[in-house]
Amino acid sequence: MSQLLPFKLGAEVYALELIDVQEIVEHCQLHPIPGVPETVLGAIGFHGRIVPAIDLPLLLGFPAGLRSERMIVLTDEHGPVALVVDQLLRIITLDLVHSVLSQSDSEKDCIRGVLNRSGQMISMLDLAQLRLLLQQICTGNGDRK
Amino acid sequence: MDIEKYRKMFLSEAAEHLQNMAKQLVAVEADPEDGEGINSLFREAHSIKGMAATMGFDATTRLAHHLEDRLAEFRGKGQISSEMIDRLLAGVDLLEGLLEDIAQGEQERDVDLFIHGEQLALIELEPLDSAEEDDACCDLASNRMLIRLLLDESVVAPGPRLLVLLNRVAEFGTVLETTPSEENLLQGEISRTLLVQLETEIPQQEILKRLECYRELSKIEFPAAVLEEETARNKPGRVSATSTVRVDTDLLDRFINLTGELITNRYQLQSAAGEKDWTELNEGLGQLARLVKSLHHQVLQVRMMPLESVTGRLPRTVRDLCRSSGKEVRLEVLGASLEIDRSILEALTDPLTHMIRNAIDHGIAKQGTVQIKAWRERDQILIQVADDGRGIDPEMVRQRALDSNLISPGQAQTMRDFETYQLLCLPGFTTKEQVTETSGRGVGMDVVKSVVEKLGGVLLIDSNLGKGTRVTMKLPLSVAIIRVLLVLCDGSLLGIPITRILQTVEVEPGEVQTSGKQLAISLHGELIPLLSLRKIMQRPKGPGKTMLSLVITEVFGRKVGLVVDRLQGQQEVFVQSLPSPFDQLRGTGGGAILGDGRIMFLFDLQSKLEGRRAKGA
Repeated sequence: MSQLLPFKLGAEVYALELIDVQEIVEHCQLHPIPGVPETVLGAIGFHGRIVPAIDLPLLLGFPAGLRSERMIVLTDEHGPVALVVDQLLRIITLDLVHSVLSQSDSEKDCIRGVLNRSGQMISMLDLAQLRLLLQQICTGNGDRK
Repeated sequence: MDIEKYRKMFLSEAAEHLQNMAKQLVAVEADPEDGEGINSLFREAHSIKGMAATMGFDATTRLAHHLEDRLAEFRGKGQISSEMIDRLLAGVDLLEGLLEDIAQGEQERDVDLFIHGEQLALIELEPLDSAEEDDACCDLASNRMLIRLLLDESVVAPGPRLLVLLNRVAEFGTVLETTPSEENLLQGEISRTLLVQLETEIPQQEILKRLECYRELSKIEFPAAVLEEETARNKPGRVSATSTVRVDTDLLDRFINLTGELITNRYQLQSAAGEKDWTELNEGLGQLARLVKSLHHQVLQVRMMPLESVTGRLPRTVRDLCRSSGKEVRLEVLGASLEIDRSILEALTDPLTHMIRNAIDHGIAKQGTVQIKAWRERDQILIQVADDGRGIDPEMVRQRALDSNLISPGQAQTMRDFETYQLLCLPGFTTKEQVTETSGRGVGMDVVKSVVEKLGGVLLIDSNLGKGTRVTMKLPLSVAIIRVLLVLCDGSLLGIPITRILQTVEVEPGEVQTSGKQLAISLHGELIPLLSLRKIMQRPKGPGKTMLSLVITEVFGRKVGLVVDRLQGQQEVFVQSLPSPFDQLRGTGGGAILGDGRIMFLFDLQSKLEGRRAKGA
């Protein structure tokens, strides 16, 4: 039985599997990283480590809005990287979830698949694609602007 | 038995034995009657044989056995001939190649040729230490050639770049093999070097010319024709040496003791906090500071390796160079037991070899001494390579730099000698009229300098015409902890390594002069151009100030003044790199969390500017 951490990006609900989440941090001070694209909000001190924080809505093309004070820090396997989202929702367990909709094949939206939870559509965030996106941002830094 | 677990151990131990053998062989050559030397050679070969047999590495076992047999004969005779030393050294090289194969998880290469003596001729034909930048021995194997491409440090996406270059190379002929393989590159393997085995009819010069237009390439080499020999000679042990560390049990005991004390300390702090006993809490914190400092010190100890692990290879290099150049050079190593952080040491292997080559090739005319000296000065390590050869004529260097348009006539006049020697480190500079096979087209000192600077150190060159040359590397004790100057730029906290800074000054805006579009200040009679940190970081202009804070540093060999918002003092920081892929962001070297929780990022002016140049191009 797997657990999901849903969160809002704009009007949509996305979710991560809890197993990919290392910690949820609150009121973390953001320190600017010099010379980074605007999707990288800065860095946080996370248990003595420097972890970059990403503006996930902006990265995925959602409009600017009120960002949550809390950040999701992914496990070391996926970074570590801190994701800033619009709003965090309550954790849900998968057996309450109904049918998985078709796999998304769009490359840009980082969606691994869509769940239908009693009418509520939840997009599963594709971490592999997210990583590719981040990679592009970091290496393409010199080419932008 | 889980072989995998023991493989690394085998590799590092075998590499050690091999290094001893190479060293011992050179020593025995100098004193052929050294019976004890031959004995110890025999023992080393025997150990390798035993270890390889246990691990089931058949070819390695057979070769070690073969060498052991030969050594046994000489043990009987009590002496050894010079030709045999060559053959044994070749055997050691081949063994290193085998270890390399094993490290890569590949099939061991063939040893029968060698054992049956046929390879002897082949190896003798080649110059014994074919230099990396050696372009003389190409085209050996009919129309096959090896090309090694080295990407510049500033290239942001090395993998894809290499793929593009590989396609380019493929147009010249048929690509037989590449390292890393195309497949691995496609899968995102990150590498800055690409070794291509190419079958082609285009001559090497032509290929060089066509590739030279790619500015992202920092080096294009055509290594010697025999792939195995090349890889075996240049990389042995380095791959395996990094994987395991041997730690003194004493040190481990001290770790345990420290951990124990830390646990006690933890409970002390916990109870003090519970009782809100501030005196006790303060005391506990003081103790914690002491324990952490001690732990840090001990951990650094584990990372330390004696300089000898690098210089140990040099007698062999010197010997080979002597043989190929007909010079008589004595190598002296002082301070080989000095301990240095292993990551620094590993980076020094190539620069040291370069420096030795330079000393022998450019410095020493017929016979002389090359001395390597290492010592500590406060929190820096100094390693000096000195020769008693002909020295460098600053006039000639100036002239040469003028001729190749590296400096202007005005610069040439005002340049002082010690600055002049720094010109030797410019890419493409060489003082030698004739390009020789050992130190070729002026690649070398620029590589040395960039390695040293990457480690946060500085390179000094000093010479006395007719008396000799001294090249000194000043290096930090450890890479992880460095001293930085903190500066502010539009709210961002940046750290500039102290070793990069010439001085800091505060000037009034009135002192700033304009020469053309460039702002500059005059310092000790020297006009120094100014750069704005805010502008470089693409931040808005700051408010006008009554005093300008300047950091004087060097970029591309020239002094510049970096205008910063504010200087915030020096500090020792523990640098950590950002997690992947953020470590690839240009101009962001890594960061550190300061005591007050603020995060500082290292700022590397040169790479930042190089990035802008590349973008503009």
